[in-house]
Amino acid sequence: MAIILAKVTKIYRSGEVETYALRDVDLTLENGTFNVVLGPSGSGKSTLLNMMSGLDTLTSGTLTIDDAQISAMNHKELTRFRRHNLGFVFQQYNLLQTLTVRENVQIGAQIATDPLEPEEILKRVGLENHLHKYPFQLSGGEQQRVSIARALVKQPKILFCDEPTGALDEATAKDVLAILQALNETMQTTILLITHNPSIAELGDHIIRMNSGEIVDVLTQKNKRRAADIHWT
Amino acid sequence: MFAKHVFNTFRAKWLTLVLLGVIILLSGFIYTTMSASLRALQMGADDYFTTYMQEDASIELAPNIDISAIPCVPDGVRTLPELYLVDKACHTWILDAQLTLLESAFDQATFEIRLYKNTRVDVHGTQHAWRILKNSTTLNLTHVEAGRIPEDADEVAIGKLYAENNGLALGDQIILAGMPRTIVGFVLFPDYNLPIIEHPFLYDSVYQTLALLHDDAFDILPFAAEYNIAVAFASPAAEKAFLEAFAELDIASFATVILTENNIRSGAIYGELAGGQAMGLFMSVMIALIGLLIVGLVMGKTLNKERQSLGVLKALGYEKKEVARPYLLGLAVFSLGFLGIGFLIGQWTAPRLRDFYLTFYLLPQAAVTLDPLDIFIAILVPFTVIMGLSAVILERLLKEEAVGLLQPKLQTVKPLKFKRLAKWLDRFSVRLRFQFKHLLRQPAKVGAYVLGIFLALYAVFLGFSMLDVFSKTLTDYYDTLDVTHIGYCEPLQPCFAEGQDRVLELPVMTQGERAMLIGLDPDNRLHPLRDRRGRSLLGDLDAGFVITRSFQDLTRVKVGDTLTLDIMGQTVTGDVVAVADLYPGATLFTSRSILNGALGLDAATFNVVHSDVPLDDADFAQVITVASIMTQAGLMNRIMQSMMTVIIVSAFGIGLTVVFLLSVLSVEDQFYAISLLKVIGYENREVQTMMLGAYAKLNAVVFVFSLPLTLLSLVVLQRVFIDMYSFVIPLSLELWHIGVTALMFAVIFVLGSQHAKRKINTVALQEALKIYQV
Repeated sequence: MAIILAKVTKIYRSGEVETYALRDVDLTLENGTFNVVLGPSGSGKSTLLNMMSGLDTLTSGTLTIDDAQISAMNHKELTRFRRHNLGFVFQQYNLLQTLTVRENVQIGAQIATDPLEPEEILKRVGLENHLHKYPFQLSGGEQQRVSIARALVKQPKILFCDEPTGALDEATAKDVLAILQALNETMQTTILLITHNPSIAELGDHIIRMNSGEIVDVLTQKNKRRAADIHWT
Repeated sequence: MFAKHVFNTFRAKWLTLVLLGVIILLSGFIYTTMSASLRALQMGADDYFTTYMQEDASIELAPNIDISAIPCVPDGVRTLPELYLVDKACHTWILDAQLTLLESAFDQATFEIRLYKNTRVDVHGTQHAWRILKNSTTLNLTHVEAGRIPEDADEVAIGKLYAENNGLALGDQIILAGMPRTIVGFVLFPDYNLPIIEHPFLYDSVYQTLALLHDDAFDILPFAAEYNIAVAFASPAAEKAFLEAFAELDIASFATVILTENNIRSGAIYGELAGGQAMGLFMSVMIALIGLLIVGLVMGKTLNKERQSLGVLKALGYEKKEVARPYLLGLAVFSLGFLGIGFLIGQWTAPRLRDFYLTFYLLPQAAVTLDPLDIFIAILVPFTVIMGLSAVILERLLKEEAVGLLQPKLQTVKPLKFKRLAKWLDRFSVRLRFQFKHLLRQPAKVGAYVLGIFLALYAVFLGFSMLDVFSKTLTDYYDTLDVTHIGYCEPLQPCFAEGQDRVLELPVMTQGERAMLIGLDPDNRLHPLRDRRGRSLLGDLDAGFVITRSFQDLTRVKVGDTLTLDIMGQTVTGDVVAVADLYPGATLFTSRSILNGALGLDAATFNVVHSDVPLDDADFAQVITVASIMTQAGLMNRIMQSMMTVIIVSAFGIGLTVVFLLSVLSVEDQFYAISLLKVIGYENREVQTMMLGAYAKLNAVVFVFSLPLTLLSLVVLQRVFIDMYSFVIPLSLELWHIGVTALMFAVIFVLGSQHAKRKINTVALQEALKIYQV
């Protein structure tokens, strides 16, 4: 699935004050690639993820994913699109605390047209022995793996990851990144990962560097590293 | 400035707070209005019953006992009412003899005979039922509310409420027994046997009254007289001794003793005064409990949302009490305001409720007073609990360090303790499991919800079950008849019945109850008898007794049982062959010819004529038009239906408020989960189902459980009335009642949850990205 942004601008208005979160962003991401958006706080990387995933609306410009013009979709169409095509992994894991590990994944599988077996995907992320545990009984890394399993169980075309290792220690973070890398390679899922950690950028096919709501440059890496090999900063 | 912030916080939740306020208000209102009105009745009643010497019991004699063997009774006369018309001296002798017998047997009691005569009086072109009395001297004394008691034959005193309802004033004239009588007074009597004129439960103050005549005028009224013997005991021990010894007297075989407290009319007063306040308190506590649970939830939620503000204040050096003060002050104003309004409305409605009670209970009007205990229970107790609860929540919050308050609160949820339940839930879809678990995690909300919905459902069911009580006991019976006029024959006189149905009506004693036995001809034209399925039972009359459902409920007799009836001193035995689907009190039917045969009477004997054409008053002791009975019944029905409608509508309002508040609270607690589900790809409608579906299912579960509980309570209520007052209230829930109630509660849920659904639709997708978990 190719993602194409053309002249995308996002302005937040608060009273009479206008803040440009994104300004005339042009970007194309190819199917099956691992893309890392890198930038300091306030650079607009989270806004970019929100726009690309349909969580927020553009002020101007167009966003197209394959043949679907996302920027022209209404609320219901956007929901449908997210339901069938997109997956999300957040910094704070965002699990439903009242449900067990397996149920958290099932809740994603329920609405997919061709879901994987929750037990199968949980096995792939190494949680086959934690099916009936609740989120609070898991470590941060384990919770993030549940979050990844929930996103992947519906076999999304694109996986959006917003600082997925932001709350994890180095070893756990590398485990999680390894899982994402493996899934990208085996399932050909397009990944857009946002981080402020330059080390993680070593994993990406493309590195999109942002500052002040604009894309500074887009680098393509021929020799991306394995997650276990990255130099953690 | 901080106070302004607190004010704005409360203002942002105005709708929730107003609805919460309404629940708090209802609690104070119900208690105050019930307590104040009933206290006014009680204070008035206590003085009234003592001052005017209310009887402790009444001895009622079967009116048609065979007295032909008594020496002074003229030939051909068999009953006391007949004797009264032909030989008053002999009648008086017999009554005096009964009195002497009682007085000599019990010196710890006072007795007095009260004679009364029933008639119909034309008032503004409508027939009204009057029970005429003469002044008593020892017991059940006359209370004059206005004017004076009659001193001449052309004077009469009537009930004040009846006069008001019919536009009658002192000085107006009424034709009674062909003679104009001037209304000289408005009177009340503490004898509650007297107002039982045509219906044992409700006193109809529009078409019925007790009327007091001068003694001489009473004696010459040309109507048959009936009587009771009033009894006042010297002590409770004397009452017990009397009841035990009375059973041994000869008179006991044809008389029953009804204790005043067990009389449906007076007993209902005692019951209402004692139980009404308890009921008011119970209703108030139930509603207050729902209110307090919701107050706790709302306050907990509101204050938790204020964590950051509280953290900032603590960091700035504010002390706990300085931070807590504006919140508690705001709450105090809010809760005191609504409790106070509820109390004031209660005080305003109390005199109206008292007057409403007075239309049933015939008590002197007493002023509604302000009682400090009402203020304490209706305002101070709930106020203290609300403030205490809020103070505890605030204290727990403010115990945290400033840094902790400034951080978003991460809540963890422990797994279900009930492993079996968790395993059982596994068989359902994850969406359904989410709904179940969603409920199980919020016991306080579920408790308030279940309590509120159950209370509302029970009130609606009760309202529906009582909706048709008076049509069943009054109009339904006459509706089944093709009779338009009922003529009661003059005792010992020939009775005109050409072309009309002849009926023999006799009071009987059976199963310890006084009942009316009606002898019908199986081929009669105007009085059908049908069972529940609509099958005609007239053919069964020759085989034994056809009992009514009210008689069956009263005596628990069933088809196949053998009944022994005491009729005018004779015993008649027969089998119960069928049950007619009617509730006209303790009534049973048999074949007129067989009844006459059993009593040794001529087969053609009758004393009542059923007619479908007007009857001439001159040919009968009394002619009653069915239309006038239906008019009276219609009035009672309307009163009852209005009361029940108010109950049903109020219950609807309570249900709606509970659903509104708790669905909104539940959604507000789940912004994160709602947002997350939306991000994953769930549509608004699906999220609504997952968040509120559990409450809809809970609604259905409460409905299903409340139905048998209501039915059980109706059976208990019926039994209590039968055991205490020998009165059958045909409380029942029809299928359509259940259907309409189900529909009402579906509507309540749909309407009440609309706001919560709108909130779900507006939850932003970005909520899921915030750093908090619930």
